[in-house]
Amino acid sequence: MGMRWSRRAGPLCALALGSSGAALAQQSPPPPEGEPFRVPTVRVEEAHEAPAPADSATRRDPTGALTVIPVQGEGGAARDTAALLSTAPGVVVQDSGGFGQSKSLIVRGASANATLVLLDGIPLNGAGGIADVSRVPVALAERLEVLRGGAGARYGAGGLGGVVNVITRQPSARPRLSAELSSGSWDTAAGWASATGPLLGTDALVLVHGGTSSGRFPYRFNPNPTLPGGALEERSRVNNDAHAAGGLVRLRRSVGEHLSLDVLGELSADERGLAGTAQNPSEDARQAARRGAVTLRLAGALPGGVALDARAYGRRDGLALSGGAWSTSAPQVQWVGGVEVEGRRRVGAVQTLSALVSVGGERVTAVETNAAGEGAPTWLRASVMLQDALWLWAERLLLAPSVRLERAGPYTLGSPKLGATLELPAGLELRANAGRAHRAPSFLELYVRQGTLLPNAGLRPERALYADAALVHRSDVSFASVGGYASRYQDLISYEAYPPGAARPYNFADARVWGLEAEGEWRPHRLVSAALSYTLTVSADLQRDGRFYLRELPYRPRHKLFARVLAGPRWLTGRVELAAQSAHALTRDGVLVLPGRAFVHAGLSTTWGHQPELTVTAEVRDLLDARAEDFVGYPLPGRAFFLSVAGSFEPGGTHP
Amino acid sequence: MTPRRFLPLVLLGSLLGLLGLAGCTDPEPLCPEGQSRCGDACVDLSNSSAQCGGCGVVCAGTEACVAGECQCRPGATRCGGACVVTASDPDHCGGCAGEGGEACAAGAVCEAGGCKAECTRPGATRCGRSCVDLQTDAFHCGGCGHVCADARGCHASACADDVIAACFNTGQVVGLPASADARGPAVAVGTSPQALALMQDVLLVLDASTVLRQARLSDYGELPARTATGLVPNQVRVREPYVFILNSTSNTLQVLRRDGEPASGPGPRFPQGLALTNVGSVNLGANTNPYAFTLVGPDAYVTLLGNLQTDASAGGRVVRVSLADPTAPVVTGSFPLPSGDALEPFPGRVPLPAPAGITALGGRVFAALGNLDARDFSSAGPGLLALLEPSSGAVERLSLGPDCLNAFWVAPVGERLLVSCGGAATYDRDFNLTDVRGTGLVLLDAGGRVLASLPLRCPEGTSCPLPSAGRFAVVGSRAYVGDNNAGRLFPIDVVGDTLVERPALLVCPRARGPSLVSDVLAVP
Repeated sequence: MGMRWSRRAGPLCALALGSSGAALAQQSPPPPEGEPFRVPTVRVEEAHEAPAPADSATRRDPTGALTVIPVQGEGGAARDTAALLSTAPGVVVQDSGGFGQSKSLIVRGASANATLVLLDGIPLNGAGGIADVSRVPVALAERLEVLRGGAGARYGAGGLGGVVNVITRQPSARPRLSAELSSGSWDTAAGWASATGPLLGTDALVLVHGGTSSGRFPYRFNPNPTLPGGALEERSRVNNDAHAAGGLVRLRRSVGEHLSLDVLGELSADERGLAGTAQNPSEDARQAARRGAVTLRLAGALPGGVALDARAYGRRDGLALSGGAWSTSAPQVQWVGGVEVEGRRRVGAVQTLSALVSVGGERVTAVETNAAGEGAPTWLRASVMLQDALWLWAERLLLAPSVRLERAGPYTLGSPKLGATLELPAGLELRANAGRAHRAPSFLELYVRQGTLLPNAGLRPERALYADAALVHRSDVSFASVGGYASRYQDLISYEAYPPGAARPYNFADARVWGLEAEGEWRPHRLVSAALSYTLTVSADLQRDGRFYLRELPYRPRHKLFARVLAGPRWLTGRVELAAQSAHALTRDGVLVLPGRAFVHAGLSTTWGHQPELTVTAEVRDLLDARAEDFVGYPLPGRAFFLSVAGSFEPGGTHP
Repeated sequence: MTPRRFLPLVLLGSLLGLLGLAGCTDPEPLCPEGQSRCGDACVDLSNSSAQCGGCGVVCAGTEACVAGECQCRPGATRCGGACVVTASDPDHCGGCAGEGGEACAAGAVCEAGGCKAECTRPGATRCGRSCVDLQTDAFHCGGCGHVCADARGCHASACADDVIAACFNTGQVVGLPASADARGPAVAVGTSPQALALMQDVLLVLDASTVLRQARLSDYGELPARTATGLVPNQVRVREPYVFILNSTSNTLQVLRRDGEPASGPGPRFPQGLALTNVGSVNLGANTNPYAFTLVGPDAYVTLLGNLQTDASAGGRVVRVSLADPTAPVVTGSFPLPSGDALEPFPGRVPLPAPAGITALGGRVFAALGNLDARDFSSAGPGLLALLEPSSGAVERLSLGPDCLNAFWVAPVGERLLVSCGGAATYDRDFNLTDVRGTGLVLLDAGGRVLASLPLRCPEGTSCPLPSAGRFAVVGSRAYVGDNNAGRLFPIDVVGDTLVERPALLVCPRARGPSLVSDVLAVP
């Protein structure tokens, strides 16, 4: 098997698009020594020094629809985590507008609270089930993994639409200093600095980051939108500032001959204005959050050929609102923690069995709760997972059945999945998956009163049935994947009026989403590369009420396109990007529609030297100054300019 | 099984999975709440005289469908096996023949329950041997033998219900006679009808999904004409040829003008609906959250509830908007409402005036004050009414007594004022609604003195869904009060200085979940 990997991976690893040009890719880490564990996907970005963590999506779901987005050379103030994730097929970002402002993800048509977001495996979804990716700085990440489709079998409840795993930067045994500073429109500035190298017998990484923006971008507002020819007013966003800072520490050392111990600690603090809508802005509503997370991981090989991955993690997230209607609300603190042990062992010549046991908990404090929440709702989570990887037909066919049994608070959930890949001639490969996933109701939906939004302890988990299939083609200079997917979402939870004067969540919605996902990269010349992703999303409301039945779900644009062309030598590389999405409904009856939009971004970067290496990048976002908004009344920034300077130095390092 | 045999199964399974989830065939949508399928149509079998209790079961013209059974409609009496109109039926004039009534002699006519040689009453028309008023007779509406369907009355020779209710959660409108002892069939109009108004023979249905819809007054069939509104439209009023719409989230008062003229001759005056053109709009300011308005002379008085989520301070006022030139509405005055201690806050509560309904009586303007706590929208103080003197700008606070919390809607009944109080919710530890305190009606004289209060509650010794009084309309001395919670209409009679509750009628039934009667319209 190892030979097969080398034969395939060798020429493909040579397809290095360069650190500033690497984009979408389906990527696989090298398999552990002696295992018949093959990931039938391909690496098309620059090779990484460290192997993928044992809990990376490529390991966890070898047949899944996975897009890996390298972060190195991205980011700065011009491009945040949400902007990078939006380049993946199947992902739509819901954006409140502006640096550091709330951004959440819709994957394969599932709601924003039905996408799991993990930081090196630590769940980041808040008490409401939604993960705000604006609170995940790009600087932390080495790459972003987007696993599309139900993820219940491998990741547990929560991933109806998919999983985003943020893989943090790895410590290295070689000393290296890196930093980036960027600045741009609307008083936006961001920077980070990292140092890695040997420290007290470990490989260590220390990274600090920070960012700030006034968020006072201009937008056009029509105070009388129903009046034909009503004059547009040019206004600036107020109370839209954001400030964040944090740090990451990683230590890794060998334990014995075959095990390695990895410790990660992450701290972040952010504060932002909650600007409200253009129609009804808020001048004093604020949000402040503090997050601390820690992971302890032991991974490697045990005697008897068992590959071990054991980790313990914890996260504390404090969220405080102030001003406006929230002036007297108490801070909300979420605690998440757990222990997870996974073993993997080869059985016979063509089979690998994996088993996982996890136990954890979640708690939210300082909130007004119902009786079921008892003042500080607390859940115990426990699950067992089994996966088989079976190679058949001269190792051309991989069948990977898996199942997870899970207890999440009061809910018992079973999530089976069957995945398969088939290697075909001419560089083609077929991949297919089908299974079931769940989303347990969030703590806010179940237990917590939020003003007029009342909880409902009687909610059932949301359910998803999903299937997908894709055809993948690879060559020395290209990668392409075209596939279809379909998901059926049942028992979806939505708030409904609960008179007098309140609303409450109920399980009453039912939906279907199917579509196409295409992505590809092409490098016709060593100085030119192109990347493209396209998503067709056809959703249907299946609640059999004639007002909504078979209408497309709100906030699900039917078409989404991302394209990028990169050209030039290292000393002057140009980049042009197009990010577009079609019009989509804002209400279930389809009456209110958000127009389609297309943003063009362009940038130039120049890189000099090797030790040290210095890169200067100038970027224009929304080059054509297309004015758009998201949701109802949240303007998005128009044309913006950013300049960044990045450098790195590796004492004693050699020139490539 | 060999891999070669396994492969087609995997591919076939994936394909079937995709097709199955994508849905090759979809079942038909369920009929709207309370309706059943008859062929291709969805029908309210409980209240449709054309299909009563079952598809194809037709009630006689003198019958109405009540709870799925044909019964004599208002104005008709059962004589033998048939329902007859004893006021004009020559065979049962004044009552069933031989049972207090008589069969008029050959050649005689029946008029107002008496046999006569000929029709004598002013406005009477002879239809066969019956004397009727074609303007008002539901059995001869606009012409001899033209029977209004269901339980509709005859208004100026056109068939229409006396009262129309909007069902927000089920997306329907329902008509009923003034007697409120029956209702017509529920008809689907739009997504979430929020407010109603009448213009010519067209029912204007303000749909919360940001569109003004139009329906025939005769049967509520939706007309093709539609007009986009601002965000969260909340109230619509008509002053020919203008239509005014208040958009709460857009903070605008939107002005439409009817451009077309009615068709001549019999039949609908606007068979394709009204041609409405946007001609004016005024923005009342960010976070003002305008809630309701009343038209007084050339002005509109608008309550600004304030955005309790972002900036409540922008509300708590009534503004006067000059509509002297409806194409250029302009704010000409602002009336701050009582706030702080003037709202008599309950202990620990921080009250906001949160004005909602507004009306005018005797040249003065009255606004209902919600007196809410912005933190959870619960009652922060007792029910209050604000009295505005437009000429002086003076604002006076009127107490609504101990039985009223969350004053919501207000309208005149003759020379008196009637106020509905939405009440305050009480929840158990699981936030299930266990009580609505302080909901009901309050009657005041023109000076603002409380004459009577009527708490709404389940009849003694019974259980029922908790009532919460909402918007209402007045016909004569009867108010039809919409229920915020369970789809009922509460007829309340003003008898002297008292309020008398009549049996409630379920107009917006819903199998599951709350049902808001979002507006009630009295047809003149």
